[in-house]
Amino acid sequence: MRLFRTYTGCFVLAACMLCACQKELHSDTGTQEGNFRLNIRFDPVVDGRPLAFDATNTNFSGEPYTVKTFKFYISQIDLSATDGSVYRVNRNNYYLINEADLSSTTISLTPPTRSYSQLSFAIGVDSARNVSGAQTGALDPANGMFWTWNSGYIMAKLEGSSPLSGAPDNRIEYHIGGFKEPYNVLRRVVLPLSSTGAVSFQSGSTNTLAVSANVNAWFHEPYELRIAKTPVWMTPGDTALRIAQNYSRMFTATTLTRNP
Amino acid sequence: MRQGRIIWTTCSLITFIVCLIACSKSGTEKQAAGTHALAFTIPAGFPAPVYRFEQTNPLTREGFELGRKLFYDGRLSKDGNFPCSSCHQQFAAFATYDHDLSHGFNNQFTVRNAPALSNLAWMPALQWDGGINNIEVQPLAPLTAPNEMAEDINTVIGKLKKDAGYNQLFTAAFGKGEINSQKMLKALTQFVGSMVSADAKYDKVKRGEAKFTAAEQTGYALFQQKKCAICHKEPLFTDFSYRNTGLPLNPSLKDYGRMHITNKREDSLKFKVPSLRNVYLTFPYGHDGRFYSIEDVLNHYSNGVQASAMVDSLVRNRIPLTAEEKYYLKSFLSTLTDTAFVANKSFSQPQ
Ligand code: HEC
Ligand code: HEC
Repeated sequence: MRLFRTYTGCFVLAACMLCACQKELHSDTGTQEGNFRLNIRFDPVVDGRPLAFDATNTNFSGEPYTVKTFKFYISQIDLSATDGSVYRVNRNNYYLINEADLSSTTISLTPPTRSYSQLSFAIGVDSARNVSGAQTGALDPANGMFWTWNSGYIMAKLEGSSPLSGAPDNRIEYHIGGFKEPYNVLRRVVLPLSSTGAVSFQSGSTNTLAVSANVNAWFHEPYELRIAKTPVWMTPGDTALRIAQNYSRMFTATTLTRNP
Repeated sequence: MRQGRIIWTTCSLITFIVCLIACSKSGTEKQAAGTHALAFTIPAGFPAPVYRFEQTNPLTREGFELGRKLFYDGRLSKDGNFPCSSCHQQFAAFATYDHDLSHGFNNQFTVRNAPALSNLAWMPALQWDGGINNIEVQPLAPLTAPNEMAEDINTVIGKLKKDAGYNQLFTAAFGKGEINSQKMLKALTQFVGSMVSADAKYDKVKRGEAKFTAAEQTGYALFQQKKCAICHKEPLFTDFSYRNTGLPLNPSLKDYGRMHITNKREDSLKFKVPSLRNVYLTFPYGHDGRFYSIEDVLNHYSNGVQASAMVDSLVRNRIPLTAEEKYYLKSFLSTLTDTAFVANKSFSQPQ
């Protein structure tokens, strides 16, 4: 009898510990399922107008250029609610936004029903993942966002051409990466959702938050990037850090739409 | 009562261990069902490896054999002519035999000498400049370099997916699911990461199974006295640091080594200290293969070092060596040849 009780005790303990463990894993992976869907869509723009690929844009310094590729990684997404709680998206989720491929520009989340007043996320891939060996999904090196000779992720990429570029075929190519201090380009972006109007979510609805990504932001503030002088940049370092500083300011939360 | 307590304790202990395993973040990765585990043995006297198969890439016979097939398969290169093994030849301890620089796609040369491959699981970073931080992603560099295998990752994966044989092998090694770059890289890692060289005469002496000759013993003592052993640290014969040993820049290659990776001026012309294991098989020597023989390397330390403030203080004032000392040093270095390793059939081209 006593023996039986002991065994039961063991079982209960084991179950409890496993549960605790599960829970740990859950909050860590953040797969806490809410009951409404929030889509965050990244729209490529040039100073407020939709970006047309291969059409000519003009940057802050008056330099004409076209865009062929515009990609970046989004990770570590947090939604802060008005009640002070924070919905943390699974830290193992990495999203590769390819602005030329509509199917990749939306991140779909299912947070709990709250009223959220702020979205924040990182642009890029944290340093731990940069040294963790072969990855899949968004981080698959086959996505062309990985440097093989100085291993690490290209956190954001802008390619196109400009008559002012002295590079072959007038190319412009900015591959921005680097995860080792002091050249870690991972940047955190905080977007208050006040500009998009009401942010309280009704249960069971789908909400789409549009966030614009302004290509022209790459070229100025705080650092003036002149195509004529630097048409190509593909290594970690000071310049990459400055360009990352620029593009970390490229996002604006523009609209929130609700579909019942 | 007593029995109960024992059971209780055992139970809690087991539970605790189970939870530790389940919860541990760095985690242990499970091998695919139906695979056969392979042991990764750490040779006596070796430190703990940096790359831990058990954490991310459980070593299995199936994974290893798949990696071996990939390593010897020319289809991983653009024109089919440049498998990994074209530059990493087993009889040369997986360096390129008798080539300062290796040949790659379209009659192009690599810009560096292909290093011997062994004991890679202990290497904190790969390549002469340490630019690659994890052995798993190392193959991406030769695969995509236009002067090596000149391939595109998606194209390689596409070729593998079309091959029924590979589909079977990938499933056997990693379970069901599509072939992807991660599986390919993990398989290659299982193969190259398993290449452990620790059975040279030197190792046998250390294990008390053999004795150095008088000349070898004198050479071993000189290896310590002349400070070789500080950089070429036992038992791996490298301390994995980056050092400028006073080799003048080759103006046509313009290879500044570690500085390319760190952007730091003080890292100019620093290269990773190469292991000296199997050094007798891996000529030519140096990051660009500029030394044809060990004698040439010793002559460099003795009277070739181009002194400057940037050169490592251990060699800046040169390491004068008499002809006799060179002879002894060479005798010692010859004890690092691991004939069992280069003859090991499990690392050779699969039939
Ligand atoms: C065209 C010749 C060539 C081919 C093909 C080639 N390699 Fe290499 N390998 C080299 C050279 C040259 C280096 C040194 C590169 C450097 O340091 O910049 C090297 C370095 C390495 C290293 C790092 C060793 C160290 O000590 O840091 C590993 C591991 C390696 N190769 C594995 C492979 C694998 C696996 C393949 C096939 C996917 C492969 N190589 C294909 C020439 C080649
Ligand atoms: C300051 C650290 C340092 C010391 C001391 C040192 N080495 Fe080296 N050794 C290196 C580095 C770094 C290289 C690679 C140099 C390069 O190619 O740029 C090297 C290369 C070699 C090579 C060529 C190996 C290959 O595979 O290319 C041999 C052989 C060698 N050293 C032997 C010795 C001997 C013998 C001594 C003592 C007389 C010695 N070293 C002292 C750092 C050192």
